[in-house]
Amino acid sequence: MLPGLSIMQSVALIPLFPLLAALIITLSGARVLKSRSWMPAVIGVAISAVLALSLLVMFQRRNLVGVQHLTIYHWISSGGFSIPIGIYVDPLTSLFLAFVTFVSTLIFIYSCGYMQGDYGYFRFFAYMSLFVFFMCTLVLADNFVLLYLGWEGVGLASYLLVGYYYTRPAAREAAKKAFIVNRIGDTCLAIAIFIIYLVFHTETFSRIFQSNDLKNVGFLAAHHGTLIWIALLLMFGAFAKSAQFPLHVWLPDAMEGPTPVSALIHAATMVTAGVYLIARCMPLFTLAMPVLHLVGLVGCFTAFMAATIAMCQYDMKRIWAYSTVSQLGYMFMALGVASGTAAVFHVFTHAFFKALLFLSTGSVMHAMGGELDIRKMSGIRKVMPITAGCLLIGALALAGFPGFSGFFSKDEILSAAMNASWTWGPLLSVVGLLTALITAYYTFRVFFRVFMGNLVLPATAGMHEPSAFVLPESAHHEVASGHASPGHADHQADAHKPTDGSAAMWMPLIILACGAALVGYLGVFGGANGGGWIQSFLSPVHLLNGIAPPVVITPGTHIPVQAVSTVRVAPALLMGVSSVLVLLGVLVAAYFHWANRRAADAVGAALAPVVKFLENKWYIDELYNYGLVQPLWLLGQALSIFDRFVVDGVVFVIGFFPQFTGYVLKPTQSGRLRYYGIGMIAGVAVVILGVLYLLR
Amino acid sequence: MPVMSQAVLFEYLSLGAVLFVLGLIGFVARRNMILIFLSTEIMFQGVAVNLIAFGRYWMNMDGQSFVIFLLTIAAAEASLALGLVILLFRRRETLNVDVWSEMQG
Amino acid sequence: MAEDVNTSLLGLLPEIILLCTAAVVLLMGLARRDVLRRLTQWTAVIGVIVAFVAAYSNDVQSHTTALGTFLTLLTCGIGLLLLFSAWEMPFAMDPAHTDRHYRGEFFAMLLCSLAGVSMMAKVNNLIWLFLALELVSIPTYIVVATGRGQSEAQEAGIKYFFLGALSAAIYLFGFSYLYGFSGSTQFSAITAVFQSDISRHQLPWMAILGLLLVLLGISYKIAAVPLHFYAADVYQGAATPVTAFLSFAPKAAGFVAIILLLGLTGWHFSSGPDVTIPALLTVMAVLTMTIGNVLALLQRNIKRMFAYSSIAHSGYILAALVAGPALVAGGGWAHDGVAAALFYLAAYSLMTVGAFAALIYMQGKADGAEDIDDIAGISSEHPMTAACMAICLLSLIGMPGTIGFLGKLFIVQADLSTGHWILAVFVVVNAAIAAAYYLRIIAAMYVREPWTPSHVRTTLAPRFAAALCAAMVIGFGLAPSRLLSDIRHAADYMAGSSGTVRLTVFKGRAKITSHFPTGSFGRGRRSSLLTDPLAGYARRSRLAGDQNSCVVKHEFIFARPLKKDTAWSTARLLPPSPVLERNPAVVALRMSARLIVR
Repeated sequence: MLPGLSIMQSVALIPLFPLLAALIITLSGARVLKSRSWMPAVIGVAISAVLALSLLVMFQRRNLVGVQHLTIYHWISSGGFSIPIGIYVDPLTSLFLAFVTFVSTLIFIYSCGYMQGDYGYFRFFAYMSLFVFFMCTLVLADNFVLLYLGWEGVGLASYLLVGYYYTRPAAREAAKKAFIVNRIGDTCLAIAIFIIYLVFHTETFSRIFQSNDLKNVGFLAAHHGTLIWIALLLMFGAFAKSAQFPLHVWLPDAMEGPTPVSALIHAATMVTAGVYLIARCMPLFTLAMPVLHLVGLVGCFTAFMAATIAMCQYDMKRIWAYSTVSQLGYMFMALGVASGTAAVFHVFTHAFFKALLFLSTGSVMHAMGGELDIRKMSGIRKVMPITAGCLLIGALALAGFPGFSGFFSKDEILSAAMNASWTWGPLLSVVGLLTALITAYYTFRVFFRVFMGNLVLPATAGMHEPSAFVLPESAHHEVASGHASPGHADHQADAHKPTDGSAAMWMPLIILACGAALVGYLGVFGGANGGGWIQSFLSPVHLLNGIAPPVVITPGTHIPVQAVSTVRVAPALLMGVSSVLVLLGVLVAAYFHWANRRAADAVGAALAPVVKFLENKWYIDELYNYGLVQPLWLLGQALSIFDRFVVDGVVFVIGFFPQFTGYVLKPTQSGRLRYYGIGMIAGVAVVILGVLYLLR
Repeated sequence: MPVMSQAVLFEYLSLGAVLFVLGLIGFVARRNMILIFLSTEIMFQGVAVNLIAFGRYWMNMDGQSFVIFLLTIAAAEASLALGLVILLFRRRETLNVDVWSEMQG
Repeated sequence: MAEDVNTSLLGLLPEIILLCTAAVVLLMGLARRDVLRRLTQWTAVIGVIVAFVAAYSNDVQSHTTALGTFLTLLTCGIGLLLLFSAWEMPFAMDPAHTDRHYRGEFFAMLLCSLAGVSMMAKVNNLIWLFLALELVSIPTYIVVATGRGQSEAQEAGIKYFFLGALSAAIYLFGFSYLYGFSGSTQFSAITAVFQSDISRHQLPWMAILGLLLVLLGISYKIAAVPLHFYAADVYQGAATPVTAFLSFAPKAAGFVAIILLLGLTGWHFSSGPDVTIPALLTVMAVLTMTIGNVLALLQRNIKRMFAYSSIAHSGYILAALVAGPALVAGGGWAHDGVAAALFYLAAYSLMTVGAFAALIYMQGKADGAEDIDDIAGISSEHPMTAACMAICLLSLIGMPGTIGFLGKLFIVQADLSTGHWILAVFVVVNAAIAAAYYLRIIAAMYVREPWTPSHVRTTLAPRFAAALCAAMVIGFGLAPSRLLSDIRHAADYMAGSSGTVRLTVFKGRAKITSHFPTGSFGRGRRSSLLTDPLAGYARRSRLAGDQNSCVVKHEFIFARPLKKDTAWSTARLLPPSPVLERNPAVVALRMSARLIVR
């Protein structure tokens, strides 16, 4: 793709451009680039996006088929163990790369305007570029160790960005919470990787997934228990990263980070890494069906639980956060019925509409001076029409309104679950439908509350978000008018009026809105045999749906449509039911939150215990606090006493020994030439005489 | 030319060893810098005696050519030693090597 | 080993270039014109670069061994870094008349010494070895004594020179006995005598005595116990760039000399059941690393601390040498102590020169900071230099991701796979002890408040050297493959010198029969031969042999019968790739093909 480089070499460069940008910004951001820090970041990620999209086209045109490898180098090899740094590219990788870099580019551009004038502007872009580097590494890795590097790297970037406003206690706490909860999953993933090495003697994907061992009945029988454990541990790793029950608690708190971070990391890309992991490891999961079913059940439960919580939250970003948890639940539901395609499709559409929702919310937040409480504003479509339109499209897509992207991908999941050969599949589908109703309700609750009705602005509207940082006086002017384009800087009056923000902010919104409206059709049209493009594009991915793909794909080969065991409910019927439910949800939301808001309060008062339960997020945080954190803290106290008196004592004694030896030997370094001579001659004499004695 | 017998060889080797050990003793027993250096020269001469004796014993020129190089290097070291001794004498006005023991430990 | 080094002068071209540059630099330093004197450093740098390029060229490489090429490249590379670190030396040497004296002398001496190191691996004669060792040493005596005006430098000079002369006498006495034992100073002749049956030789005791004296005498160059006493005083007293030089040049020369001499004896020399060279080396290694580290713990003076740490690192390299060379060329890293030693030597040179370069920059004029308190809190004023220092120190500790980690890893691996687990334990424990004093420097730089405001006034050259070293420490730590393959090549020169490997292909079955003399080096080795990767792939592996040798037979079955010719060409033409590397047949074939080609 790039002149002078092979395709795979160019692909290997995709993560490197953001890394380069991160390095440049880190080194020169504070002193040289300053407010121009966005340049390297945007350019770097844009180049990556172009490369990733052309890779997608390569696969589409069958210039590339199957799985491509490139080993860049061997970092270390020790005996039979070696860690190659290599990349593994198949349609799944290329799809993930494409949307990660594409959405990143848009969000980066948006951030140029959104973060303008923030203290540590360059820090933001350095971290974001670093994140894109690690995310690409994660997706491109050809072995578990490298994947783990990316996995930890995105966790690190997430931690840094959640704690971006580190002077705010809430942000610090949220960053720590995100990191610690993720640590549980990371530990599980690490153990899974160790066990994988013990079983397969390699960490490389292709050798594990295509190894003959997986087809060897004797091997499978001997390792059945181990494979279950591997799958279980991988599952927990995925659950922590993708915020599934019971490890979902960090994601809503992570909204303390800047809004573009929430859009990119905590909605569109990083949190889908868990889905990627399970989809990638589907060959292993299909050998551990109970675990796969557990994935589906937990996903289903999480989808429902998070949706109910989202009904009763008032902070817009938190609502979208719970909605993300809920939508991720859908994806895991799809994985649970071994439909990797449906899961990946939903990841793909979700990236667009959820990024759109977050960025639109960011614009609202920007205009309203940091206010996000949906009770404090109303009717603001009148001051921010573009944002209102974009958020409406995002809401329609999220709600699964017929014709919008979420509709198609959600429907794909529901029909996959309904028609799964697993007994409980239909149950998942039914809960999924119920959740779709709730989703439509809470989504439009936000929309109708905030954008429709009479214009009510919060007191802070038009001011810049209260900065967490103490700024020097001179910078204050810049901050106050920062969100407007430089041309507006002299119109102080304009700066106080809430608007859609600069072009850098609303242009990406419009692009994303187009995406959110349209990408769903990729799941319906454009594929071979009248199927969706996405299904035929992903069909060569090894065992993505638990079924081996045709071995060789050349142009003109017949690609079989996914064989589903028994079609119990026609997809069309399911589509109809879900459309009706979504419309119902929207109408209910319209009645309670637009037409007759008093009625909503009355219903809320009538159902006070339920509302309280949901407002408090099912009391899961409290449960963790009293059930886990407090006992562990007590245990920690006890161990600390042990550590201080016993372990430290032993360490002190051990540490003293070398020093003591040193003091004993110190006189040998007398500083006198002749004594050194004596020492040397004595040493030689001891050796010679010793040897003579032994040879006697 | 008669080949050297082992007995004769051992006499020469003994001479070399004695010279070498004398040098060693001189090195640690003397305090005068010049004498210490001369002691190392004596050790070199012990080596030279060994080499010549072996050269004769094996009837080849390796030992003798070694000695030529040895003497050259020894001469170079002697000039270096002389320079060094003058440098040090200028600073402390003494040849006693024991005064140079400020660094230790 | 049996093959003689081609004595064509072309192989010595890099050394000739270095020595000519030294002469030119010396003359330029005496020039009347200021301009010429100012150009001495640049001339020296150009000379070293030209020598590096010359060593790289195929013509020169074909006239020397892989070990020789490797050492020359290492010497020129590190020499360049040392030149940058010492950029300011001529001013520092005599602050009273900055421009009038000494301009060329220092760099000329440096270049002579580098030429000596570079020559070390190309020698094939005891006389030549002696000359190379002295060519390394004599210039360093001069620069230690005259490197700076303080009386400490002169004290260091007298100690270094006199004790050096003593050690030279000791190893020369050993040389005379080695010559007396074998009747020749030619390496090939000495090897031949050692490989014949020693017990029937006329003067068997002479061999062991000579070898002991030589090893002990040369251990002065590497500052190993019991000839380590000088190191602390000399490192402390000398000017810092000279100290940096001392931590590379004599050490590299000494280790290569030891490797060559052990190679002469076939690596498994023993006279009598209890008296073995490996046993001596083991004791020396343990004492050296332990004494170095515990004494370093007590130091406040950074240069003195580095002196003791340098002793300790020599101990690690000795521990690698105990493991001996690989039994077969092209084998894995696990059994190859020589490769581990060479890698550690390269790694140590990089990290220690980097640390010294950073220290030189921090010291400003050469007689600046010496004490650990003097660089306290320096990270706030010089973040980049402090970071370079910290990276080099972390590498000296052996942090993963740095070259120092790989170095220690290979040493421990070599020791464990050859059954010297006690040494491995000592290396690991000592690495932990060493962390204490290295981290103390890092803590002082980053955590403590500045003691005194520093007034750094130097050229950027030392900082450039430090940054280069730090970059390479990380770079080679993450992507060592190129360096590893060069070192493999260099170490293969020692490996499998007397083992034979035969490959037979018949009806799709390949048999590899290897015959190795093991001697006392092979105690743990024999069992490890069966656990090597090859054995895991073979259908059947058998081990036989007596105390002094062993025979390993591997049998492979191919998926489909291969003709012998096909198999041969496959083995030779396939590019190295990790996937193919796993294919046992390819591994076996490549390995044997290479052996048979040799």
